[in-house]
Amino acid sequence: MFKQLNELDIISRLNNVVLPMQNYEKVVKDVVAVLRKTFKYGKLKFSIFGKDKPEEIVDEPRLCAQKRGGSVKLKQNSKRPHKFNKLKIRCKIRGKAKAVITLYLVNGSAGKRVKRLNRQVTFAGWSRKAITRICRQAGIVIEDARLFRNLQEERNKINAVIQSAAEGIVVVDEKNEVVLVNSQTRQILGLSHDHRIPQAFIDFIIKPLKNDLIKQNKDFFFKELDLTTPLKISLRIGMAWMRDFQGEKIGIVVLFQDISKEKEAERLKNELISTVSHELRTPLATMKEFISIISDGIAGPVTGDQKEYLNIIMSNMNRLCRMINDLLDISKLEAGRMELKNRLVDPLLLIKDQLASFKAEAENKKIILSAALLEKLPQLYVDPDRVAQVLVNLIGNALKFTPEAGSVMIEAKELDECIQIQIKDSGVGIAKENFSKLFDRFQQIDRIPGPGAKGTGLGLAISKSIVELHKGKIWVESEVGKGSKFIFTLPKIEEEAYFYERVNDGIKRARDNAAVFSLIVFGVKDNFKDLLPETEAILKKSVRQATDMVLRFQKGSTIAILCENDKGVLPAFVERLKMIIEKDESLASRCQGVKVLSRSGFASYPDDGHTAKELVEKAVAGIG
Amino acid sequence: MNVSRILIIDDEQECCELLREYLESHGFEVEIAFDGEEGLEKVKLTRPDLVLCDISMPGSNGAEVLKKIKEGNPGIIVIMLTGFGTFESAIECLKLGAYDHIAKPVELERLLTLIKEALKRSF
Repeated sequence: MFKQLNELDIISRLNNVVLPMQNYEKVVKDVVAVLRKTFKYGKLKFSIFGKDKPEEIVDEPRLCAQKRGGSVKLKQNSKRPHKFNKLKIRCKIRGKAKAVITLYLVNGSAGKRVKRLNRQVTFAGWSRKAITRICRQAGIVIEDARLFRNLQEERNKINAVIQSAAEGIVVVDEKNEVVLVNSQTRQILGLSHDHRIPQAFIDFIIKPLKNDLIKQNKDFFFKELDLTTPLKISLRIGMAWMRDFQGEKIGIVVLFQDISKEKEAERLKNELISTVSHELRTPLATMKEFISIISDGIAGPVTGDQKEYLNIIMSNMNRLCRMINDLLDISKLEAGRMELKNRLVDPLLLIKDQLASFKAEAENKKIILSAALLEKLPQLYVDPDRVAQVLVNLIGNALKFTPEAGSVMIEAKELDECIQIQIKDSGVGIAKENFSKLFDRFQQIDRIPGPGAKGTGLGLAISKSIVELHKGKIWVESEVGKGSKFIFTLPKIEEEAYFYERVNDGIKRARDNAAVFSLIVFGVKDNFKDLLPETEAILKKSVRQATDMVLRFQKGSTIAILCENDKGVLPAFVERLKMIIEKDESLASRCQGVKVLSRSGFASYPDDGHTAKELVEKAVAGIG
Repeated sequence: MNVSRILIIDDEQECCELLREYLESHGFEVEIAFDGEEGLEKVKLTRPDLVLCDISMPGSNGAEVLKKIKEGNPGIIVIMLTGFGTFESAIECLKLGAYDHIAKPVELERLLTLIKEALKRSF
């Protein structure tokens, strides 16, 4: 009983050694001291094996030498007789680590073999079992201290990495408490090193970011954030979930990178490009003008040779102009300053125009330029000049990179929500690894080496920006040796939505300018439905103001005119339009003198309503 | 230690009452003002240790109130509350001397920690 209590006392003393989590060396020293006091041994060899390399603690051998005539033989000499009793204890520590503790005992029944000890119950007053228990506890205590030391070291290492990182790093736990903030974060946010992290930082930056991360439903993502005054910085932010060993989310890691300088450099570069190219255009225009004058013989007779050289100059100047325009476009697109002058456009006309203009070039190269077009495609609401630019780039490229006697084919088709236009060539094709680079700025992937008009490498980048500005998509399908297909889509107009959008635009413009906006609707008799397109076309020609718009809505059954006319003049305006329709000969011949436009109604902002819905309801009421 | 006095300046009555109840239950003495002017009056009269001030109140700007409190009594801790804050507006307030700036709806426990921490620092 007394011994058991004593054993417990020693175990608790061992435990106390590790409790204050002192450094490892101190813990080992204290454990050894407790063991020595308990067993009065001569030497202790303490090995802990685990995942890491074995740890060996050998107690001061000096103590052994002190014993008269005694010497401690180490394991290697185990065949020789021992002068001292050796007690080797193996014990497991938490399944992972294993401790081997060898006690060379000085005291007790000297000269006895360990074997005998096994059978004997006591040794220096201790049973072997008790010694094992105490030693195991000693092992656990030392292992604890070691793990704690390793943990601390790892933490210090990671901390050093985090603190020295060029990016700001913030770690927040699941309760939005800041776990860690490195010095770079403070620098980026302008907080001194001893300033506490304000709650505002959590509430207004970390929490919204965390919400983004949750919404994105991804493990990590990047975004850019522009902070205005007083900080005036642009940040690139990376976020990732932090997970525990079971994969549960336990917080987020946020990385901040100050990209203000990059952004500023980018802005300056764009500004430079746009200023320079703008300045270059003016003298070029003058030069072109005078070359034309000389070439046309206005300034005096020109010989055949001279004329030929002037043409070469001219074509090169045109190329220069194109390149400058490209530069201007890309800088506008990148600065987000490209404004689309959208209007209703027939995509077939756009394509046919380009086919015609490339005809000569294709014939020169003996390339068959053809088109497979549907007879009718729905109208688009796009900037026709910009879409034409995309077509010019794509068709131009296709011709450029297709060898003689090849073919270039344009196809256009209607899909559910968009129109898809595809330019297919029989050129050498593009390797898959170049697909992504293809639409980058200044990327020219040589599809065929050799001569050919060199561009700026901006065409596809511009095309991509333009298509995306129209909320379309552009991509490439190609295989080396099998030609390429460039495909882009442009979203279709949803007639009703488009109509209301235009009405809303009109109301907004009128409100902003304290002006009037009017809506006129014409109902067409059921038996004349097939005359609607023609009627619409005539009305389009008859409206006078550039801002007047003729549209159809209610599933195309009603014609509407959007104008800025004052309410007072509307009846007269409506009468005039009706007259024009009635007097149209081709229409009249087809409806035997019966009026096509029977009923009409109109409504004006702000008199008849303030919203598109109110105006439309009022106007439609007129046609019953 | 004396009981700390807290003044809440916020035009939303419910919010004030909620905060008052919560803070009183944690042993603070709480005063309420429903706009900036009243708030500044009460600052003079009651000399609170800490002010919780809403940023957007009809008729008075929280940032202005903060400025005036800090001009007269730099020792008073001010914590700003806001429904729609940005980090920039928060930094602005911190530069004007606010102790911190937290988003509404207020997480009460967090606010309490913040208040305790702020009061500890000032002594």
